[in-house]
Amino acid sequence: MFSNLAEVPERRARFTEERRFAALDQPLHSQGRLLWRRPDLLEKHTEAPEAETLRITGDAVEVALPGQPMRAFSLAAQPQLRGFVEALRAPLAGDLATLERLFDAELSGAPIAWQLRLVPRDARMRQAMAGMEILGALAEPREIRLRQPNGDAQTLLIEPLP
Amino acid sequence: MRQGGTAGLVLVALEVAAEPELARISRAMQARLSSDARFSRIAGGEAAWSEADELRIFAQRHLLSPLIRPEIFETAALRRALEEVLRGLRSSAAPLVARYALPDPIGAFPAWLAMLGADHRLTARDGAWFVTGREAPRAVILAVIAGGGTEMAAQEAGLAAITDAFTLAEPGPARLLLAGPAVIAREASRGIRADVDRIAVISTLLVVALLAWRFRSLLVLAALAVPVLLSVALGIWLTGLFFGSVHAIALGFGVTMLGVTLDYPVLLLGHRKHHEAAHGTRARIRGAFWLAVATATLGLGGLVFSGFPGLAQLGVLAAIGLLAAAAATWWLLPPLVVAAQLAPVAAGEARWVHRLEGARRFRAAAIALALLAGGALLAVGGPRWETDLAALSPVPDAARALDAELREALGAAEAGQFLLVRGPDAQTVLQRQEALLPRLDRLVEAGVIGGYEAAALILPSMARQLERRAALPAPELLAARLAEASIGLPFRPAAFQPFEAAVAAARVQAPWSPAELADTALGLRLAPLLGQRGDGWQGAIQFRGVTSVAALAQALEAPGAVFIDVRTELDGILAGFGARSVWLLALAGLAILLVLALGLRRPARILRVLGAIAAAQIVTLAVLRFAGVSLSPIHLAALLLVGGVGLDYALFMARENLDMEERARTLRTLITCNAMTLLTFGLLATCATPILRDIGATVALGAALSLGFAFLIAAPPRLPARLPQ
Repeated sequence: MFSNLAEVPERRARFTEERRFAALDQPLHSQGRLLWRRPDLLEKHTEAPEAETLRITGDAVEVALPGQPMRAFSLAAQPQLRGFVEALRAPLAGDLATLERLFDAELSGAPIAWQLRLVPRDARMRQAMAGMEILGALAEPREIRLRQPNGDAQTLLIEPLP
Repeated sequence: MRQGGTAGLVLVALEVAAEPELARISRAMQARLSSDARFSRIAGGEAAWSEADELRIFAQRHLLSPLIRPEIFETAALRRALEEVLRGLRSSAAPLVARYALPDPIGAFPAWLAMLGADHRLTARDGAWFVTGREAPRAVILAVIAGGGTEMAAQEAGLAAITDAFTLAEPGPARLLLAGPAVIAREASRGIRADVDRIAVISTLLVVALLAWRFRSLLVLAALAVPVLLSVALGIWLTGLFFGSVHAIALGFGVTMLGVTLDYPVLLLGHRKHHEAAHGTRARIRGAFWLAVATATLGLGGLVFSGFPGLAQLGVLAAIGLLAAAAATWWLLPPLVVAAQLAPVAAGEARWVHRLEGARRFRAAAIALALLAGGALLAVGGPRWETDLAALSPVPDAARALDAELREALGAAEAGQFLLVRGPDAQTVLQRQEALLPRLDRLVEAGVIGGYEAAALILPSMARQLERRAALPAPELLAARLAEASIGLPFRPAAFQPFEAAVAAARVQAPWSPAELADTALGLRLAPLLGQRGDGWQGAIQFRGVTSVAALAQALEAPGAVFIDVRTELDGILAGFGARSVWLLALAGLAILLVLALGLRRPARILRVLGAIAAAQIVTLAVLRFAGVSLSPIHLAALLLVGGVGLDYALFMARENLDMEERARTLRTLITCNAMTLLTFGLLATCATPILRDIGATVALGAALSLGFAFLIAAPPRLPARLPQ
C-alpha cells in the first residue's frame, strides 16, 4: 500500500473540515484545497469561511492570512505541531520510515478500503494528539480523523481532484 | 567586563559529518557530560526551555507580561480577545490556540515571549542544536564549567572532559571545535608557552652550536652562560617582587630579549688576546662596553613609562637583566677567563679584514638608502599605528574568529557597546532599567539599534509585578465581563474557567526575584545581565545592530547608568599609546644622546654612532610600513631592543686607532653576536602567536640592518695604514 502511495508525484484535492472543541457549543466548518508534491511540500489553502494558506516544506512552515504579514517558523521548534504535519504528510508521501519513527502505526482493512491508526510515540506529542485515523481507498487517503486528549476532534474529508 | 558566571562557558561545535551523525555524537556527549559533576550546566538539544520551566512561567504570566493593564480587562477589550480566539480556532494553528489561548485569551504569555525576542539562531533537531542558515551542518553544545571556571586547573579539566566525551562518542571523521572564555584563556597561555618552549629549546641549541664552533671550547661556553643565567634569574625574581607576578608577555618576550645579554660575555671574550690579563681586554673595550650597557638600559628601561602593564614589566625586567649581565661579565667573568686560559682561537689571517673593509666604499649608498627610506616614510605619513587592540592578544586569529562566530550563532549580543545600570540592590537596577525601556523601544523604532537585551525584559522588578497584580480584576467582576463579552459567540459557559482561575490565583501570587529564575533556561540568560559587583548590583543592557553609536550614547544618559563603548575606549587607549610612544622614543633618544655625548665626547664620533642607529631604525620602520604592518606597543618594545643591540654594534665599530688584528676581533665578535640574535629572533618569527611573530620579525630585521649600518656608517672612515706589530 505504501509503495502505491509513494508512486504518486503530486496530489491535488478538495477538502472539507469539521472541528469540534470542548470549549465551543457548536462545530466549526471550513473548506478549501490541498496540494502535495514530492518530496516534502504540503499546502493547505483554506477558502471559507476565512482565507488562509499554510505551506510546509521540509521543516519550514509558513502561514499567510489575508492582510497580514506572512509568519514563518520551524517545525523543529514546535514538536507538538510536527505530529500533525507528519501524520498528514508521511502517508501522502508513502514515507513509512517517518511514520514508524513517530507513531505506533496499525494498518487494517483491504486495499480497496484501508484504515491506518496512528498513536504518537513521544509523550510530549501525545499531549497534543491522542490519536489519528486515516481512511483510504487504493492510493488515495479519503478521510483523516484526529482526536485530542481533551476531547477536541477534527475530521478532514478529502476529495481528489484530477 | 563580563566576569563571574560566564567565565566557565564553553561553546562546543561539531562539524564535518552528516547531520544525523552529528546529532548522534552530540546526544552521546550531552549524556556523558550531563552526569559529570565538573559541569554546572550542559545544554545542546532541548527546545528553548523545558516543559517544567514553561509551566512555571505560564503560571506566573499575569505578573510577568507587559500586557497587563486595567484596560485589558474591560468588556470591549475582552470581546475583541474572544473573537480573536475564535478566529484562531478556525485557523490551522487551532491545536496551539486551544492549548494556549483558552487559558490565556488576552495573550499575556505570547506578549511576554514576543518582548523577549527569542530569535535564536539555533534549531533543535533529533536532540541536538544546529546552527541555522549554514550550508554544512554544525551542531552546538553549551557547557558551563562548575565554579565559574575561574581556576585554570578546573578549566583544563573541564575542557579535557569535553574532548574525552567527543572521543568516546566514536566521532569518525567529525571534527570538534571549542570556543568561549575558558578556551580563549587556555589558548592564550598554551600558545605562548608552547611557542616559547619550542623556541627556547631550538634557539638554545643553535646558539650553543654557533658559540661552540666559534670558540671551540666547552669551558668558554660554560663561562659565557654565567652572566645570561644570572641576568634572567635576577630579572624575573626582582620583577616578580616589584609587581607581584610576571605578565605572560613580559615573561615570553623578556626571557628571549635577555638572550641578547649573551653579547656582553661574547664581546669580552671575543676581544681577548692570547695570554692577555683580563684587565688588558677590559681596558681596551671599557668605553664602548659601558656606553652600550648604559644606553641599552636607558632605552629599554623607558618602557616602564609606556602605560601598558605588560610593557612596564618588560622595561623593569630588561633594565635589571642588562645591568646584571653587564656586571657579571665585567667582574665575575675575568677571573674565570684567566684561570681557565679562555680566549678565542687565534685571530688568524687578518687579510680578509682588508677585503671586507673595502666594502665601506658603499657608505654613501647606505646613507642615501636611509635618507630615501626616511623620505618615503614621510611621504606616506609616517608609520601606521595599530588601532585594533585585538592584534595585541596572544590568541591565534582562528580561535578568536570561531569564538565570535559561535557566540553569534547562540544569539549572544555584540559586546561592542553596552549600558551599565547600577544600583544598591537588584530591584533598584531593574527599576532603573524599566524607566529606560520606553527610550530603548523608540531607538529600535528609529533604527538606531536593531534590538537589545536587558535583565528587566526577562524579569520585571518586583514593584512592577505588584503594579500588574493590582490591575487584575476580582473574580466576580471578571466572570460578569466575560459573560457579557461572549454573548453571541459559540463559547460554552465553562470555556474560560482556566483563565478565570489563573487570574484569581495571580491576585495572591508572590512576585518573582531573580533567584526564582535561577534554575531555568532564562536564568542562564539573566545571569550575565544582572549581578552583584562589590557592594552594589549592576546590569548591562546589551545592543544588537547598532547603526549610530553617538545617537545611542546621547539617548541613554540617565541617573545610575553609564554608557560604555568598548571600541572607543580601546581606540582611546591606542590613540594615547601612539602619541605617548612618540614622546617615549624622543625622551629615550635624548637620554641616550646625553650619555653618548658624555662618553664619546667627539662630535664626529657621536654623529657616526647616532647616524648608524637612526639609519637602521628608519629603514626598519620603512620596511614594516611598506610591508603593511601596523605598529603596536609590542613593536615599540622590539624597536627599542633593536636600538640597544644596534648601539652595541655601533659603539664597538666606532672605536678608533685600532690595529688590524683588533679590528678583526671586533668584526668577528659582532658578527657572532648578530648571528645569535638573528637565530633567536628569526625563530621567533615562525611562531603561531601573532605578537611573538611580530617581535621576532622586527628584531631580526632591525638587528641585521643595525650591523650593516654600524659597519658602513659608525666605523671610522680610514683604516690604519699598516699592521702595527
